[in-house]
Amino acid sequence: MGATSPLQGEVSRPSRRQFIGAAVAATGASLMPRPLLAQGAPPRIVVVGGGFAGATAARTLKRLDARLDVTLVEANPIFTSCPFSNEVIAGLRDIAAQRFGYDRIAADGVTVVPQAATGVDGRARTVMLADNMRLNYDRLVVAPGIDLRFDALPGYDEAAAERLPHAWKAGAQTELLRRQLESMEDGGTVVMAVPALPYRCPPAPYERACLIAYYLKTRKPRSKIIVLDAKDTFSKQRLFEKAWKELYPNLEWVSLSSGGNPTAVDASTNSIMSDFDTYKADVANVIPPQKAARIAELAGVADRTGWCPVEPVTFESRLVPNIHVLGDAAIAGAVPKSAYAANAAAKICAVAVAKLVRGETPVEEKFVNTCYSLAAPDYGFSIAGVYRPMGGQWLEVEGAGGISPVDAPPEFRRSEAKLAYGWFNTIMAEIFG
Amino acid sequence: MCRRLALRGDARKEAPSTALRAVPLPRFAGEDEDAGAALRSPRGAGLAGAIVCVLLCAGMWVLPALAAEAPAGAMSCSGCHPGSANIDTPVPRLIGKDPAAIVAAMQAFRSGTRTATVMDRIAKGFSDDEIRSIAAWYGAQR
Repeated sequence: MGATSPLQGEVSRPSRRQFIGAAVAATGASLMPRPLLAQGAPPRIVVVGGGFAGATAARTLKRLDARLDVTLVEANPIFTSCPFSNEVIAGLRDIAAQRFGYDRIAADGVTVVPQAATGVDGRARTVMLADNMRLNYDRLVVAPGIDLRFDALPGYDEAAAERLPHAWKAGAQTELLRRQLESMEDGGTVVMAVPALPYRCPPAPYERACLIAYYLKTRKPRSKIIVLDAKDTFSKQRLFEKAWKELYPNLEWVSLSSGGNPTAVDASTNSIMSDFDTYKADVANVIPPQKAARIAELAGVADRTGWCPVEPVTFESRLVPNIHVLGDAAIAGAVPKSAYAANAAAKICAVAVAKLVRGETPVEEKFVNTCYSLAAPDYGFSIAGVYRPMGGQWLEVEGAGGISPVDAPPEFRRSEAKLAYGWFNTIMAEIFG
Repeated sequence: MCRRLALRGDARKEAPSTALRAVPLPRFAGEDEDAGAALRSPRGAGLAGAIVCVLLCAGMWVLPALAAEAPAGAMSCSGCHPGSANIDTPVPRLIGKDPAAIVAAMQAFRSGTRTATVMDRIAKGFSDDEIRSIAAWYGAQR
């Protein structure tokens, strides 16, 4: 292997770490029970995916131990955040405020490779890239996010998504949905289709419904929004229902048992079919079922559900050794698919990986998830949870966490809205700033 | 994040950390640019060798402790509690705060004697020992 950059065929990076590795090996190899370091090369850790989980993991690893050879593989040169993209859709925020670059992460010493990962050979410990280059790893972190399942809802494929946007990956889809709302005539009907769990960010469809209703109420008051749901219960439900009652007579939620389950889409008529009815939309937002992004399947870390089961503490795959899975792609017990949890779990995983490559044993951990939703720009609420490993799973600590009080005064909602914006500023600074 | 030099709060108290103190962590970790330059030079090579030798001869841990070896739960606080004063948020910084003040606040949130938006729900998930460790760790950072 030698002390080269993991980018085979490229000139290796400056030799400072090689030199340190060599010095340590020369003087102390026989005394050190540290297999990877004793070989004279820094341990190579490759992270696939530069979102909340992957970017956090890469940066944390480098900060924990600057000698680690950390490579971040991410095809997009700019990350566009899903949290707060519902505000963009509702015309409350510019998409530019959602965009973050990898310069600061690279400045911390992470090698950022702006390419798609096209395959993983878990036995050879190699990641294949779009340009046929290969990256060798000692430990791989897979944090690729989600793929939308274009085979799940009849009539909803990639072409249909250009007419009936999902906007469940932030970027062009977000802007498309916003433009459609802007060009809709007053008096129009917006129809949303919401899938069953699991999917990225469980409360986000309901926040989106609120903020679209806010846009309609303030800009197109004769219009309405209908939410077709494959569920009867959902995250922060009592808080959302209270907000709908207080703020949005223009919003109708059709639950599973009321016949709301979206069963098909007809892009040619801009319609969504449910169990009982066909809803013709002026603007349709179809959030289809999801699965871990394709690279997880190619790496062999996704199971038949399409998601990736992992061990607690290390977030190591239960299916392929030396591969850790983070973020929305993972099934980690009770851990929700939220940006906050992705970031918190990535820090824990980074510590575990840094320990594992030193031959040390990761210690038990614990973490917090806090997830804010906005029902209006000055109306926020949250769900929180504290998680710890129990019986081989991440489970919620009983007696802790839960949702904001349902009967809180407006000041409380205003205060939580401010906390929501503050959370976004803080977490983005930690990851990308 | 400003925790790259931080040791665990309790480790700092307990460990006979003379070797770690004698050898600045970033230099040995190759993180500091000046140290990097020194290490690239022949003279730096001798220095690095000497450091390794001294540590080995003293029977001490050759590798520096992982920079951010935080007590359980501590790392997730920075999702909301900002790492610098420049971040626009109503949430206070924990870094460098008096550990006793953090402990008192957490206990008051947990018991409900101090009103909160979300910290009452979070504090209920932590024991006194965990709170003290987290408070010491944040308090020790600059």
